[in-house]
Amino acid sequence: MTTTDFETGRRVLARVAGMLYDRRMTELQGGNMSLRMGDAAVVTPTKASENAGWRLAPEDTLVQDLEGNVLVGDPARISREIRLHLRLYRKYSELGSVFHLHLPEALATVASGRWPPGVVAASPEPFGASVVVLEADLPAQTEPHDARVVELLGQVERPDGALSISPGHGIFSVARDVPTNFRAADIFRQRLELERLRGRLRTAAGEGQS
Amino acid sequence: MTEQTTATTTLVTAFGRLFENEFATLDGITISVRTGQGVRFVDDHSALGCMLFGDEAGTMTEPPGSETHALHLALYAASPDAESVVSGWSCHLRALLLEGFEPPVPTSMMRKRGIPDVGAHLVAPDALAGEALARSIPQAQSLASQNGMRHLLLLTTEGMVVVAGAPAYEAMAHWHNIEFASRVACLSIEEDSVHQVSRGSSDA
Repeated sequence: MTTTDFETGRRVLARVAGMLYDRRMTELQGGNMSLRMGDAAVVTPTKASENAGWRLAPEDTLVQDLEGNVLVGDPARISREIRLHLRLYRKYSELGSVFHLHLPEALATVASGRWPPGVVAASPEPFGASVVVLEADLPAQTEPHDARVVELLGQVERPDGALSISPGHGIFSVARDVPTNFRAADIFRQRLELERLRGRLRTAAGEGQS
Repeated sequence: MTEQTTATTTLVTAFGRLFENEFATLDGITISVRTGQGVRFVDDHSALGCMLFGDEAGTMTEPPGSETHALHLALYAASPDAESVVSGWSCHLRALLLEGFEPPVPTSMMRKRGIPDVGAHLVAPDALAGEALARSIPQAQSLASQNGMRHLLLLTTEGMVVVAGAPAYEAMAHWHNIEFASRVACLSIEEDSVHQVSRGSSDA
């Protein structure tokens, strides 16, 4: 592929990053996104959140081969967490998109103890995405953490959307392409929100009767 | 740009703005527009594709589910003037109804569009398919006729909202109004609860 071939992917990823932030799927201090194009991946740069508030231009993105070599863009702007994205692409050839998002709804659900570590849902129903949860004692950006994400995601259906929750850190969501990945993560969040809303209404009804 | 393409673009743009503003969810959304060549569908996959890629979305389109497809086609058949159909979940209506609350009180914008009673549009969850659909559509037609509505509106007791009619942008407005009114109803219930707790604290 030539640099020109990556233009569409870089434009799409820049737009996706902004939309994910606008939709409250991540926050201003973290997250990274990528999409696969053949044997390479278009990736967001380090500190895309703090420096650009997720308003990225296509030329802010980088292109790396699946071994991590920079093909296009500034090598000084490589994000450390992209290593896990590339590892997922190498391991699961059907994946076309990986997002790392700081999704408060997912972190809150795990923090509540509702979901213990392991496989929560092996297929996209009922949460909109397959769901796995990591052990809390695996620090992010370490080999044991990344290996466990790859291992757990290997135990569930992935093409229509799967996400791995790292307690206290965020989620890694994967799918066959960008829209499917966005959709799965978004529906996952919406369904958690629906459950919480129903709980609040139930509580309010109880208050009304007391 | 053809008239039909314009209608699709208008609806996807309107949905996209609702999505950005968190008034809409992708979960279960299907938008369709009647064209000279048949009915053009945008489902939850392709709606996001349109928002992300614009004209490049075609390659991302998934075929619509057959039941939803049949529902939309039945509404076009029953409503020859309908330009578009929008169907999808209203998160707040769903929460209200599943927790046993009444449907929302209509807002001024709903009354203006001929909806004085939201509950009158409710049907059973299985009434959007098969033989039951043949009974649901006349119910919606009757309400439209009584209240001067230009659209057909069906709501299931699980929170699915279906609107068919013309002009296309009004279909999305109807669809959005249900979520908006339901959100107001949920917030009112929570507000009442907060006030009760506050009163209890101050009385103690």
